[in-house]
Amino acid sequence: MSTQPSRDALSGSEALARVLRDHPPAPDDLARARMEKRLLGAERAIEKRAPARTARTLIVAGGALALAAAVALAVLAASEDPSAPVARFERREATASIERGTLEEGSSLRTAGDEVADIAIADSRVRIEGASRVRIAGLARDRVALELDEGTVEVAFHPRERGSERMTVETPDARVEVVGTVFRVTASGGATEVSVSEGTVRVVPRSGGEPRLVHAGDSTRVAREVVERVEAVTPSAGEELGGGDTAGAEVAAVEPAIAEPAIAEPAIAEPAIAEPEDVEREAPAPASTPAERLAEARRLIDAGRAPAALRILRELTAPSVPLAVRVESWTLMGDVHHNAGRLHDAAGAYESAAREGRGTRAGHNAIYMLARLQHRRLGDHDAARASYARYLEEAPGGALASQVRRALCALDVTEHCAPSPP
Amino acid sequence: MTGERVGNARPAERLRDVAAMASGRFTAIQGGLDEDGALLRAAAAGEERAVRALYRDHVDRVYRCVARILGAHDPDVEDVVQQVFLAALDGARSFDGRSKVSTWIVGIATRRALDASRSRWRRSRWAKVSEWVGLGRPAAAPDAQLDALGVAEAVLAGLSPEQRTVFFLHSVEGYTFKEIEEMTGTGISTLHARLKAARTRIDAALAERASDGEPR
Repeated sequence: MSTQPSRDALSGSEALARVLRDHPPAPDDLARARMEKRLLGAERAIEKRAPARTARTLIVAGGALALAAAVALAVLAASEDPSAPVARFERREATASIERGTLEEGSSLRTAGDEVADIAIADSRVRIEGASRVRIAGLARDRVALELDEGTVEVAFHPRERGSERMTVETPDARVEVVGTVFRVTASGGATEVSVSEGTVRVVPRSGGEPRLVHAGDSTRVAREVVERVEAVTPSAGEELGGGDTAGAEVAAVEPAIAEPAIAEPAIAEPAIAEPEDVEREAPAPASTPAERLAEARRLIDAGRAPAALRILRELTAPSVPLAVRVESWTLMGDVHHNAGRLHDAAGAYESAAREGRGTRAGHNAIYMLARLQHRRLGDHDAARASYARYLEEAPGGALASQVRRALCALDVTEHCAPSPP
Repeated sequence: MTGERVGNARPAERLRDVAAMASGRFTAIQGGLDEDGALLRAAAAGEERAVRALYRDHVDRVYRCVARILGAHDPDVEDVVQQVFLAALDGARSFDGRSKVSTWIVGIATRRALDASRSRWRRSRWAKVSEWVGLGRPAAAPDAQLDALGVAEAVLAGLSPEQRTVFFLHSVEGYTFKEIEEMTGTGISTLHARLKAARTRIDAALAERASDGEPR
């Protein structure tokens, strides 16, 4: 093979360098688009780090633009506080931009039948389709709220700190709660339809019906009186979780969503391009046991396909799945989140594994993983001490007990600084 | 799309675009910062077109660096690339123009990838357990052994993150030791030592594979 490292003329390391030089790793088009979208999605955070004077200038200028657009936009209320958060919008007809500006909390935006509007709110991108009316009910970074009176919105919500940021879309029929996902809500004709492209949303019918978790690939229709499942591309165990866990608890915490990077343009200008995983996901899944599904998740992780693995692992945390598999799934989810830098998600998953696996070796290991995460990555030493101590409490003779004691010693819990028992 | 036009335009045309992006809020262009520097500042100010242009100008180089240090098939490569660009935008004010923007960004990529690589043992708890009991890293997939690139990547993976970094930056990418020193904050003598160790290790690994009859 011509590219084979050879020491005929060059040393081994030189030949190896040449091979590496001749075959540079490069992202494919999908990865390129995915990374670009994610980067642009963080743009607003960068703006917030600009000098305060610049930010104020922008806000004032944006406010003026919003005022100029008042005839078309029916701004219903406006805060005079210059530090109040604002949403940026662009209203377009066909491909031509016809209005740009800012919207403040309490503002409303209405689009004509042939118009669309894109709004950037905190960590969300919202496309308002034609013949829609939306009110910006909340603009705080940790809670964005939209009220969709009529029409359709498509939302891409990718918070930087999952769990600390929430978004809701309220319609006359239902409230849709998310922590990170891409979804579409249509309110029309006395019903609301929610379809999810990425992650998971929770739909709470105003009629008092059971809240539902809607996962990627699924959609749900909420009529005034009933919740009707109209489409299910992939049966999901999470649905059972949602119903069981949230019945009667309208404002319960939202099930953490698994939001994979989306490919669509940041302004949601085009439909998302299906990733290879998505194509595979929509193929009929062969019937398999939880253990086989777990093995499949492991294989996907090893192949670097963490999002696909996470989808399986989430299913495997359903109460109907055997405990050992469930604990293992939570732990693997923790590993995946950990490796992706989603440290708080990882901590949550390890905690779930520890809780569900209490009294088992897997549960003890999960406590250890949690403690290591808190210690080494999160730098939360108090939490780490507590978790290490929890390990020793539950498994004083556990396989990792000596390491736990060393860690506690390093964290100034001096009673553990004596030599470990053999 | 206008963002694409910025990324693909001729330099003078793009500079005008960049100036337009900055909307008068930065004086970098008039003040002597070069085109790349001005683009960086405009991107850091949140100008979407500038962010796109900066990303498209540098993503291949950043990706290559991160993938070589972490491993070409590492699932975290994209995340680290993302972190690199965010760090670049976040730290644009610290860019003083003494080096090229590309070198500066590769420096960020190197440090980020090294950080991730050093914590690679956390990748899987199974890998962790293996390391704890001294079993070393898992073997590469069999099909990865079949071609020269697979061998090269496997041998590269056998180096320490620090050795891998200096070998990649110097021997593969052609950066000078001075540039690598600026990127990594590691002294030149240490870089020399690491490169020598890396080469020794590579030669030994290739010799071992040759003696085992594996393709090199």
